[in-house]
Amino acid sequence: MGKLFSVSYFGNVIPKLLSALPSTIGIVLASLAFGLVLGFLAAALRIRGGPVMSRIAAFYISFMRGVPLIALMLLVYFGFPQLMSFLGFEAGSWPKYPLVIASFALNVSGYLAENMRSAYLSVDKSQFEAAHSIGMTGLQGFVHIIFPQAVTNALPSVGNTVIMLIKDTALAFSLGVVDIMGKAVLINARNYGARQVEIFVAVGLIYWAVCFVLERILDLLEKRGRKPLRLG
Amino acid sequence: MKMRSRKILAGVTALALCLVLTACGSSQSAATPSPSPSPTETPQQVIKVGMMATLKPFVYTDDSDNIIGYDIDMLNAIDELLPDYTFEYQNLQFSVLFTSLENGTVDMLTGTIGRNAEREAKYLVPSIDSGYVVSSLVVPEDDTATNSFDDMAGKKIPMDPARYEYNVMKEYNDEHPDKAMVIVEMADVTQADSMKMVADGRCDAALIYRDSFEEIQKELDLPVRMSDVYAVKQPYCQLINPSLTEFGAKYEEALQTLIDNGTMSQISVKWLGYDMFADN
Repeated sequence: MGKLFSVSYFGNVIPKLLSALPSTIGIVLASLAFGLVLGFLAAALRIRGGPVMSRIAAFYISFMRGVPLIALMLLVYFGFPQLMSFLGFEAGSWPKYPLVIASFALNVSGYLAENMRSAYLSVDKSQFEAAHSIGMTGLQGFVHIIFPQAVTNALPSVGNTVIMLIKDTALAFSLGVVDIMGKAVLINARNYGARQVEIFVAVGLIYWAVCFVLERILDLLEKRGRKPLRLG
Repeated sequence: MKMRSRKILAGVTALALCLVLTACGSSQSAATPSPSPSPTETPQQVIKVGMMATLKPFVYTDDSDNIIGYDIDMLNAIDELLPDYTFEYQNLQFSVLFTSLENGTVDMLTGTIGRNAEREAKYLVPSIDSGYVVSSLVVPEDDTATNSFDDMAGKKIPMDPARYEYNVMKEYNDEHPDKAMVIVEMADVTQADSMKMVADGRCDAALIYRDSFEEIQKELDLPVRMSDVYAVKQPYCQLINPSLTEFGAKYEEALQTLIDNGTMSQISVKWLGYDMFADN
């Protein structure tokens, strides 16, 4: 009977899987960039949008957090071309990669909006008053006093959201985008699933390693943010 | 400090853009580009073909993620016979395959797709089968008595309910209640996993593609054997968007030509090791 776990196969498959790492990181960074912009807008409207816009923002956040990611992906993948067709553009020829990024960005923006809102609200009101008392305008106070504190407060929860996003990218292959998980499925298919355990242990370790590096970076940033300012 | 932050931000943004552009490029590498027509040529109509490229040897990917296999050689041969059309291949997962055809994201589906009345009513289905998937029972090597479904009364066999063979087995059970087998329903169970389940006694038999058995055994060397009896011979076909009637007719004509001139037999021998058209 053949080996149940082939160490040599495990060693050989890791570089093959790593060749898809740029695709996964590309999806994460692009989704995060768009998600941060959307999340910031949603959080700002939720806090200061007045009775109507605040409710619309609350609904947006609730919807993006409440809809399963795979359902949102299918909605964007099938719905966006239909919408474009309705608006008079050509349907059915949209590349998958941007649609996958749009799905992830929409999903993560809901979580990031709540991360940002809670971080902003966690800054004590006396900090606004202190900024005012030394002659700063509202915007100056926000940029120089509130924002740096809010960012530091937000780091742990944003870190969790980004880790969740990294793992969620494993769904990108549902639409045929070859990320690490997609690469694993294709390699697995090439040998009829005979070395499935080795492949998916390797996949798990790669995702964990990426998340571990991110955790360390966030730890460093958090420690740096919490360092008291030295005066003089 | 501010300057440094800006530099870091600029660096991260540039890296993200590079990665996105690189990935966008690689994600389209499997697609066949349509050649640009010369002023005198009629532009070729692009037929987008969706498939689940995890079905070795019919449709799967090589080390560079190019889609290859029996179906691709067949489609490339058909492409050569149809100068007005060019094929573009898209790797999709099962969850989006049929909806992609329905909403026009792709024009045709391929990859061991079984023929049934529901599909024939909904899509344009060529009347000619483009191939056959032949499966036999794999049982423990000391079990010489189990060779066909008739020997499976009360015995356990794993099967993915999304597979064509699942329906064949259900129909067999309905028609032969006294010989009914116990179908262990498992989503996405691979052929290798099914064989492992037989080897370790969790199931009594597995239904395995005849061309896959030796390949899996080379890797795992399990204490199992394959029956010489064909348990399921599944004819398969392509599904075409019903609006493409002219293309559908030309496609069917081209496929018949390839069967008649022996090209399909050659492709079959190349990928499966035998001529699946020999008896048909």
